[in-house]
Amino acid sequence: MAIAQAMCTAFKQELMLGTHNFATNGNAFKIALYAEGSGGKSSTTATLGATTTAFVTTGEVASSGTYATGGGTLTKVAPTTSGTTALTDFADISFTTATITAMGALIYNDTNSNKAVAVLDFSSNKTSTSGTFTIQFPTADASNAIIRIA
Amino acid sequence: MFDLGSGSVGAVNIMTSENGGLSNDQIADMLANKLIYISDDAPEPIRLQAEAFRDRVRNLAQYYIELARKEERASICAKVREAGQIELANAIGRL
Repeated sequence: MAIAQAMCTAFKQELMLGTHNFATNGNAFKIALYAEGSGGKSSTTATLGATTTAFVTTGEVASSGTYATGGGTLTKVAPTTSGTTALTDFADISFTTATITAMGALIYNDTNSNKAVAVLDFSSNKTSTSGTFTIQFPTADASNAIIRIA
Repeated sequence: MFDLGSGSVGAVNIMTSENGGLSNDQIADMLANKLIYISDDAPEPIRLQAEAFRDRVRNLAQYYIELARKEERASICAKVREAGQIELANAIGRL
């Protein structure tokens, strides 16, 4: 699979190195959208997964509407805990008046050398046509939050 | 070896639209999904009750989202009409 949902392995190591700061006044994180097949800027399919270490332009969707290449900046929700699980969350993000077909996304640290955080697999192509493309993050709890360490 | 647990990534929900913004239904679904999570392995009676509650919340949200959009359009119409753009105001009013 060219785009496989995963918490990037390098990210796990970088957490131990203190590379990523998810506090609301911490690092800036972005989300970039990717296509499979010919939906991207080039015809090269994005290959994203646990081994992804940083933001890549290959296979990223083209700028359209309010989506600009490189992706949108995420609004962080301060990390918290639930039981024995630590978790963090982002506010939902929308790109408007956009024509986009995307199969997945990459969350990355825009402050620290575009280091990869997580790959999201949408399971199928999702398309907006001169419309809104919204990414709704899951409920921020121990079972569903977008980034969890149990 | 000590296994201290694992890191996980949650599943996102994607909503898209054509030639305009998201519909009232889509926004209501987003709200209900975010507000009420029902575990797949919850006991059936509890799951059914939770699903019924989520449906009620979703329908209520849908109603008020529709009302909010309608009232906002009415306010925009009034401002546009005040500015002398009668045809544009009428077009917005028909949305």
